[in-house]
Amino acid sequence: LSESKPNSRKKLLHYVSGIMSASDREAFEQRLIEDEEFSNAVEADEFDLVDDYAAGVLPHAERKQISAWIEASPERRARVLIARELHRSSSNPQKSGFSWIWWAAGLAACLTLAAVLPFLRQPQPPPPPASVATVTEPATSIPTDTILLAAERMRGSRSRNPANTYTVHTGSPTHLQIMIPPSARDSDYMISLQGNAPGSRSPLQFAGVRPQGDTNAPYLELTLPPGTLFFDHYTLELNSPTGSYRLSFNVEVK
Amino acid sequence: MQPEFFEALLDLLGDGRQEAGTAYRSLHRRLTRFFRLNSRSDPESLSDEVMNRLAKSAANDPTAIASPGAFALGIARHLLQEDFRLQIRETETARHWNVVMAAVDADKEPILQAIQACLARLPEHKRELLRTYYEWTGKRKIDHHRQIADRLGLTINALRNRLMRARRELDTCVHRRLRDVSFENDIPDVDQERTD
Repeated sequence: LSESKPNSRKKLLHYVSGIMSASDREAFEQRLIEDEEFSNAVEADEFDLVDDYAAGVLPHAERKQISAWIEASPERRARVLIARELHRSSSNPQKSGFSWIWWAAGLAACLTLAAVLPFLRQPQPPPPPASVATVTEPATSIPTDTILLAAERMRGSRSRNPANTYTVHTGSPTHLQIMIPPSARDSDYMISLQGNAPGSRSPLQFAGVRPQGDTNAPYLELTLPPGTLFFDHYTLELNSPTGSYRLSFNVEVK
Repeated sequence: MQPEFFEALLDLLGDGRQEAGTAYRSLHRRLTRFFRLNSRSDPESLSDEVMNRLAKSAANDPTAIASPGAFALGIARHLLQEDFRLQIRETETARHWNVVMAAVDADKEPILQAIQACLARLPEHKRELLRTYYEWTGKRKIDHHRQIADRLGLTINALRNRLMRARRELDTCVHRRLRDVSFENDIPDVDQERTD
């Protein structure tokens, strides 16, 4: 008998993550070898799972279940990288010539703008409260995602606080706003952003990022082009002559 | 595989060469899926080995094999354990892949180059299929895939099967390119397109 897709996918997840009971595992393998239709369905589910993992659209629980399985095999990791690269190169069809040069140029323009803006405008109100993970700017036609973080001074190798999860949207740029202590507002920062999933890109580095905002609520801001962030656990490091900070956060992509 | 073993295996799998041949390919495909889910090594080579051992058993004592599928699964599990032990001792293949992937983790340029080169070698319609299929993620993806399927006159399942074949071709090409130290020179052509 054929099964519903969510059910067969769930079974596959249980199988590859090793949480299936011995008897269910036995039955699953027997069907996989003896039942052509079931075997085809499992292959399709596996294909979708790896693709969804690469695209960063798996729910957190499923991602957790599958990541050890993917990491255990170099071939699976390669498949994730390939799928991720296909997603990246296909995600903006109207911009087929889009390259990292343009990406860097856009980023440089954003950073320049970020550096110049404090001199051009009145003091800004502090960023929105931490509970607001995503805001849409009504003044622009492209919806923008905002990730708001609070800098935490490095003490040892691990952050003290659990990482929050933020939702970003495919095709939308992301503003990263990082609140820093008032005492740390007088230096420029080197910011490093690193994903932790297998196959994540090399760290993104941003030099000379200048704090914004008023003296009581300074913050750093970066604008990341669409497609920069994937479903992943990210680590952000801030370094300046006055101190170093490390933050971590999770991203879900819709 | 020795010819007499092969003949014994075909006799075991079906009546007549055609039926037995179809059963052979089908069993091999399902074994490959089993190994793809469970093994870190090359799934197709492991499936070949199961078929070899099954053939040998069929030649020695066919009456001991009540169900070829169940017997093959027993061999596959045994082989998987052997493979795990080999992995622990780090086979040449695994070492190679791990070295490649460690290098890729540190610097993804080689794999990105391999993907681009392999995409360029694919027939245009397959490249276009991959490009359009991966345009969207999340909920929009489903609608988008339905539109592609309608445009091509396919069902969603047929579209995915076609896509999976293109992906497998691309993955195989990238795998070979990364494995081949002198990949800038002679790259074997990936398998020719099969009919849908």
